[in-house]
Amino acid sequence: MFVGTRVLKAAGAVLLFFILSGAVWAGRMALMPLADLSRGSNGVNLSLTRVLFHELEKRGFNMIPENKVLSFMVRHRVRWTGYLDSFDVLAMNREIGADLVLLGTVTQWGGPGNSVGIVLSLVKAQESRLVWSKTSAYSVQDVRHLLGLGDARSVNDLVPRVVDDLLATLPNGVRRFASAVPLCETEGAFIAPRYARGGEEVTCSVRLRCMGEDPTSVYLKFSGDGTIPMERVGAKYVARWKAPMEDGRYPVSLLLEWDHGSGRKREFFLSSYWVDNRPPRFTLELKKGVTMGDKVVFRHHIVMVPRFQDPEPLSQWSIQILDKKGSAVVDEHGEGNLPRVLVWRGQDGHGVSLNDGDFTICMKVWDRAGNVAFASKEVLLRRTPPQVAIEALREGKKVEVRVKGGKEDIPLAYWRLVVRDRKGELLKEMEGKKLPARLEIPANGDREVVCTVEARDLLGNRVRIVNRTLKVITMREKERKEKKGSWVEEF
Amino acid sequence: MKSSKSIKWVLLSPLLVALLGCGKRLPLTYESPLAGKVRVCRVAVLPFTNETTYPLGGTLLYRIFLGEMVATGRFRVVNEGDVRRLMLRQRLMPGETPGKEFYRALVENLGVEALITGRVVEMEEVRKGRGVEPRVAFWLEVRDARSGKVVWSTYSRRRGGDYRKVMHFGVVNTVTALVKKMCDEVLKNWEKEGLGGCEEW
Repeated sequence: MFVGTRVLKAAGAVLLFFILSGAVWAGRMALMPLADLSRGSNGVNLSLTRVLFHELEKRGFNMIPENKVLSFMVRHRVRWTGYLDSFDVLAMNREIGADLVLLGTVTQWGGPGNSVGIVLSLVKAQESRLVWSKTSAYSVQDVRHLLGLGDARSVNDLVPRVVDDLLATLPNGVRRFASAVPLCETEGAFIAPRYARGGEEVTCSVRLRCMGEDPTSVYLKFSGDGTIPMERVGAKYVARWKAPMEDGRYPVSLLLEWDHGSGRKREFFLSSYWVDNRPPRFTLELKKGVTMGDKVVFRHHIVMVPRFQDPEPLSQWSIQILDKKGSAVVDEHGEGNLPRVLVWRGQDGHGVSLNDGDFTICMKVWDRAGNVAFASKEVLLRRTPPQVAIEALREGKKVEVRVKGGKEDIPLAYWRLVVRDRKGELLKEMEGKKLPARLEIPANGDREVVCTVEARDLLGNRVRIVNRTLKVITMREKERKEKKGSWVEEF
Repeated sequence: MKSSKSIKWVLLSPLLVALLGCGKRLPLTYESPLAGKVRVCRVAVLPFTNETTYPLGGTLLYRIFLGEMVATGRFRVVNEGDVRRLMLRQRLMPGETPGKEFYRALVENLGVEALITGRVVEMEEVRKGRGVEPRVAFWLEVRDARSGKVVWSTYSRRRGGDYRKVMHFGVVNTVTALVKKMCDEVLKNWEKEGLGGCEEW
């Protein structure tokens, strides 16, 4: 009698514990359709799912009917099988009463090895926690018996063996607790601009997906303890604030609260935004031209290389090439980062070659926060070859061949003069780097000499006068010609 | 004379077989100085990349590895669905290297301490006699979820025939079974080396 009372008391205490803790034993299981990798990334194997369902029922598992699971999938737009996120698992628990969710993937079905492979995972729905998993696979090669009796002939013969193996250790039954905090998660979050300047307005909009009760207050929480409330606009929650003045990365979290002060709240990290007040620091380097003072001279093309001190992604860039009057001959814009190297071939925007002239290259870049930086360089386009004039003058017993020419701004790199008589005999040759120059040859009575002159400037512009026959004149004849103004430059 | 030579061979051959069998010990695990300093209990496994022509080889290894991790009971593994949802929210494509933002979101939202990435470098079924021999090789990397730094990485490469005991016994004939065995080996290797696990801390 005394012992019986103690047993009754103990049983009562256990019952009271379960009532107070809100815990009951339950074991309703939802079997999700098996994903089938042998049928591609979206493959589903419903026939094998049904085989597994009946096997589970046979073994005493309390199964949720297939139509309930499928209608849940439709309702929650579950497009993939083989896995579920915590939200859907908890929703299964609350909506169709699933305590356990069994997920599975058919890893092999048939194939060259005639094999079947399945992975099963069991999720405890209340906590959305993976609690059990097992993999099993057989091929017809694995099922060989003496004298061939009972050998597997097809993959279908392997299914019972795989299912038996998988279900041998599957647990049945879980403890169920009542949840206090409603479930919510972000369906979409948007912060714009992600890169802002100090004081600029930043907007954050969040779309929530809640099960049951919507939160009564939604806040954005910043590093430190700063929070701002979010306003409900249709299906979204929106907040606007001014970006701090200091450069840096600012993480943003979302704080959901049900009945302020009740302690029922959830907090999760959303994203970060950056404050950047410093324009990109860069210089424009020119290559392939010849530097003369603070200008770069080129003949054919010039290579522009932007050099950044602290490289950072850019939102846009522009290049303008202005002539002396300030009108743009080239105007190019682009989104994103600047090309590593830009080449200008002395053409305008339509591809037409430009004449000699002085130009200014202006390059502008914008970083992601909209800070602008600018760099410019002056360049000279010189395509005209150096001008060269030659004349032959007789002075007594000598003939002097005079070469004049060159350019004012572009020095010569090289010149060469070859003088021959009318028969082609070489009389003299000479070369140098500066003009004018004089070359003396002994007078042999001929009234003509044949000259070849070649000159090249530093940019590579070249002039070549080949076998030009020159009349040998006296100084007096020259002066007479010049007085008449009939002196003509020889090209 | 002849008989003494053959006796010698009979005695030496088991030793020779044993020596030839001493190849590289697999799986191979490379530890960084962080190993042992970073708690690896709650982990998120990112979808594995498939560098082979075997269809969905990355997903196959991923699902089996995830399952075997759960089965050891040493780790608290985050649902695949939660990892994929976070990747979608952070606009991270499978196979893409995660940035700082993603690591932060992992830590803050999923509460993970470590992240596992992996790639399948070999997966095939080679015809052999009447059946096929599966061949699989993969790399796994365990990273600190806060910094993204690699804590340790493991390489494993196996063939179905590697598990032969006597005659055809022990031979693995399916890719699934081979991957499962390899994952078990890797997880046992980690346990043996004292790497990861909730009970260690």
